[in-house]
Amino acid sequence: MINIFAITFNLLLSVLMLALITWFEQEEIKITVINQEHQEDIKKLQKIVQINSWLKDVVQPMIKVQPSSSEEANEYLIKYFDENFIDYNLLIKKYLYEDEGVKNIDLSYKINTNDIDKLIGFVKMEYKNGFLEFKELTMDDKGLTGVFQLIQPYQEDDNASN
Amino acid sequence: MGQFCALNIQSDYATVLFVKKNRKLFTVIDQQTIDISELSELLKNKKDYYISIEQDEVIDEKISLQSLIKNDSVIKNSILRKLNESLHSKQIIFNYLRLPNNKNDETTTYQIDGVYENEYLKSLRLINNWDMIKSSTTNKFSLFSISKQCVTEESYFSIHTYSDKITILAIHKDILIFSRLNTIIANNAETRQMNMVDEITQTIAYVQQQFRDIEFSLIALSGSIGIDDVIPEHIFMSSNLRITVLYPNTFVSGFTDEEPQHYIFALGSWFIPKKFQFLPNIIFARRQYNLFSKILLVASTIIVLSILSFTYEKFNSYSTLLENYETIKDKLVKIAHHTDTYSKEELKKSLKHIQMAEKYLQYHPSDMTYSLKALIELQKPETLHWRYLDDNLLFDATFKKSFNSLNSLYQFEKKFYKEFKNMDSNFTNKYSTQTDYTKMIFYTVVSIENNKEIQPEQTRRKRR
Repeated sequence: MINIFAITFNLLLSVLMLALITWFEQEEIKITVINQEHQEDIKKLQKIVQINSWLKDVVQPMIKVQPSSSEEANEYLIKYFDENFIDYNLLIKKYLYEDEGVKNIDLSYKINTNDIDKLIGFVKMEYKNGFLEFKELTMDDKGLTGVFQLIQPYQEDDNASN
Repeated sequence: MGQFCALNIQSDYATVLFVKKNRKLFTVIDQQTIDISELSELLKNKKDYYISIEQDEVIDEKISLQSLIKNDSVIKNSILRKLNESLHSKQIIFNYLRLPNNKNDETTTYQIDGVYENEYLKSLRLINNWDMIKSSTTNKFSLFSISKQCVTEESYFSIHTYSDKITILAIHKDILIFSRLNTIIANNAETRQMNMVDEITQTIAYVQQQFRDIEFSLIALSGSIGIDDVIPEHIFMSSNLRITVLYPNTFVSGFTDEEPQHYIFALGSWFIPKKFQFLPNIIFARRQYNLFSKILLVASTIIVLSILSFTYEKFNSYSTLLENYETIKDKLVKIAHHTDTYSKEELKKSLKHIQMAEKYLQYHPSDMTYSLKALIELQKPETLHWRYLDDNLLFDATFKKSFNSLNSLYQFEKKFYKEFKNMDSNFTNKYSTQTDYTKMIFYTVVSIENNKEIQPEQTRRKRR
């Protein structure tokens, strides 16, 4: 009789353990799916952290220094011209004009290729308040000539943007 | 075997030996003679019973069957049918033994030994736990078995007496060829003694006459006759056969010299081969049930252990996964906690700025010049012309070089165009050559245009 009890107990235990194994397997599948989702979320968040860092270090400082009005934007462009027109023989190609919420000015330049310092300075030149877009560049034995455009974004007030 | 109980159940009392086995040596650790009513209590919690039962009426027949019958169940049924004719429907338990015969004989004779089930079970029912019964037989076969253990002669008589009962066996070549159980009726000890001697000597004479070709050499005495002085002397004088006493003390310790004579049947009970055991079907059924249940228990235990091991593995795997889940969750919470959130307005501003940067910083002359790095390292370009207008980009570079020999021009061209082929292919690259081979002047214009899909990450470059 003890044997029968033991056999019954063993069989019951087997059934319970099989049920437990099935439960473990189902839970494992659930946890694996959740883990994968969490991993993907972590990757997304890590990417967001990187983007945030980039926004904080690069983009937002640039936005902060943008002029707050169209007039101020004009002043920035004019100031740039005045600071550089002698070094790079800048000439006004197209005077201040507006395009999709930014102020622009097109400038031509001419640099002697023998003046290495100026050449390097020109190549490294940045427009910290906005963007500098080259339109044309020609280099020959006479020198470096061409046209570039200065783009000056500015903070539009709410009424203007609406 | 370890420790076991050897029992001899008589009509109103029982002798019980508690025996310990150590290899081939047996040690009697306790011996008791008790009333049969106390037997079940005495055997409580004891294991492995070897039983010898006194039966006044036994079946001792010889039955002949056709030699062609070989199948055991057919033989058994045939014997049972023949026995039933004289049994008047009494239930029996029997064993049969094929007696030697000539090959050409048409019939085979079987020695049938059996007990009447009702009387036999009456004694067995004194024992509560039938699962512990390892062997059960009658006193005759116990005496036969212990005689075989003690006597090495080829042909001999084994005689056992206790109280008024005499058991006489004739054994030849380890085969029981004759047996007789008798009870002496006498008014006094002297008559009893004389009757006993007569009974024994007459039986011996009868057997010697029946089996003339067998030369019996010995009479082995046991029981009360084994410790008697007078009767053996009379037997010796009548039969002229050597007299000896069964002396199991050589392989069974724990007895004084004459003590075993009181327990001869119990001592013989554990040497009984299966063919001389009388076990009712219910014991076989219980044995089979026990065996089957043990097999099932072992099998189910193996299954349980296997599943347990598998479950443990699964549990480990689950625990590891759960730990992993906790770690990942903590990491996620930590990262989420340390991730700044921006207002929609701020993001809108940033997006606008990024879109502007994408638009205005898409192309830069230095990017194009850099793509010509390998060619420029070979020969400084004479002119560079870069133009970006209305989303159309065009970049021309003129390379000019004079050579003193055609071979050096040839080698330079080879190297130049190889480097040209290896150039970055995000743009459409082409060249037109106007080399003057007469004057050995290399002249090629390399053009790059943006009329192919551009990978922004590789080509965009921020300029402020």
